[in-house]
Amino acid sequence: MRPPTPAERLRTHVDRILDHSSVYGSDREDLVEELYGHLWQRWQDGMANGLSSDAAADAAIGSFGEASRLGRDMTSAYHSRLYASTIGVLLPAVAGGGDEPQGYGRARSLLFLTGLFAVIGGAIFLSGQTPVRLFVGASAMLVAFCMTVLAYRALGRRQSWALVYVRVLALGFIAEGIIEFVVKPATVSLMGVVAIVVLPAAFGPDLAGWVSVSRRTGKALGAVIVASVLLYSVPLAASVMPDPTQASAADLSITVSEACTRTAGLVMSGTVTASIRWARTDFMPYGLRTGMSQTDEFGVSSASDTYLLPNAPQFPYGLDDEVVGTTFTLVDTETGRNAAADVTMASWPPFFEVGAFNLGIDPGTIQAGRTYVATFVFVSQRAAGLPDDPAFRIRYDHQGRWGIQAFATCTRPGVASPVTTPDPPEYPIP
Amino acid sequence: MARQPRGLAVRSLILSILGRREAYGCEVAAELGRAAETADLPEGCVYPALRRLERDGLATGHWVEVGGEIPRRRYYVLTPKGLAELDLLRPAQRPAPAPSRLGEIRP
Repeated sequence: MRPPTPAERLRTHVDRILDHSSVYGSDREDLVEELYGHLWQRWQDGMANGLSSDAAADAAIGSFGEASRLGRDMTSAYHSRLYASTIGVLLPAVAGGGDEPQGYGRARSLLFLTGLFAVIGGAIFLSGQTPVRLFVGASAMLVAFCMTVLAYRALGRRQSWALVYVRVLALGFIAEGIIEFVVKPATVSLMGVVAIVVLPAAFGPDLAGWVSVSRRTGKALGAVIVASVLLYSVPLAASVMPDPTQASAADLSITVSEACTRTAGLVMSGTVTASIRWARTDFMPYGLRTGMSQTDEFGVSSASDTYLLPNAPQFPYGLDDEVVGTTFTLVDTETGRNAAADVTMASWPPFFEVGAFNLGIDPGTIQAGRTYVATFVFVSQRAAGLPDDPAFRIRYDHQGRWGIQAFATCTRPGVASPVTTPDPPEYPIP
Repeated sequence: MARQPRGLAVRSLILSILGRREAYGCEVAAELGRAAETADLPEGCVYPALRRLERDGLATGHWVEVGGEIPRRRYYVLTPKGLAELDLLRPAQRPAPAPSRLGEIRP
């Protein structure tokens, strides 16, 4: 193959510059002609000054400037700063530049998209986290993001650790994609797909050769790279970690009592009263967001020997079709107002069969230090009355994180104790 | 005198060059190479700077056929807006006046 002529080398240099830019269409055509005209002029000047044709071309190219820097500068001249720092970086990276090997653009695109999604996704996800989780997650995300940015720049400088970073990142995304697909078969991880595209290049000989000019990555740095990639999973892990700024089951107390009206020893009706008091409530439970992501669940249900309820005492009598409720209210004892207006718990319809009923409570309306009284009134469906002591369960589930429940009968009041959440299913005894 | 940031120096110098006469990129680059503030800059950096002037409406470019095998050239000329900006820059580019004698009034 014949070596390129000086004029061809000049054109190649112009192409390299523009390959590093995001300038297209007629603007690009004008630039090609203008930049080539400049190099051509300098080439002629060099030869007029006694240089050989090749040496004059070398001098013209050398004095013109580095292709990648000029390309980036050209992008910023044509586009806004936002475009130049985002899409303007990505497009040339995908297209590939001048001297870079096969796969270089794909590897850099993986790094760019990782950083981009880390910023966007991280901001969306973390903004809804509680303060300590937000701090832990954002700190980890920031370190991981900085490492990605460094790797992006380092790959351009042919540093071997950046390629190791790309490999670890790609493998991590693929692993995450597989897990996501197994857990939710209908979902496909976008970054997992990108990583699959990048993986052959990341482990291929071209990129390995490209970074071979730098020192090999040692074990210690390799461990740092793996750790920095794993940092991206910290926000998700932090979202379930204990946060001392949030209330726990120990901060909520519920006592339940049941008053029964009897006729000839049989229970005709009764009132279940639950006294609810928060020692403290959550601090910024939805993080920086306003509004509510989910309600608390507060409910009453029959507790009988026909159901298996964890931690429940064995009660002698099933109530499922034996009683009906007449009212269910929640009152703020400090204001005396029915919580139907203030705590979002409405009075229930006049009659219902007691099974398992839950009401949503906006935890944002609950104030620490106040006592809220829930009252549930029931009557017997049997005209003669209930022969045994009817038992009820009161349960409060807070944000799906924890719950407490208490059982009470006419003769036995109850105090709520922590239980697992969500409420386990109730299996009929065979 | 405090030095201007490099980008501003290039912009000011190009405005100054184009304020004297219309010129094409290679000529502008040659003049920048002679200025102390920009002598070490690669010649290619003149083109993004020229494009920014065009984008900001301070200069316009037009193609001129030269003839023969010489590639045509894109000449740049300042717009009225560019000339106005150059006027704003000029006082700062003037050499500092010589110290006046006590009591002498200088314009």
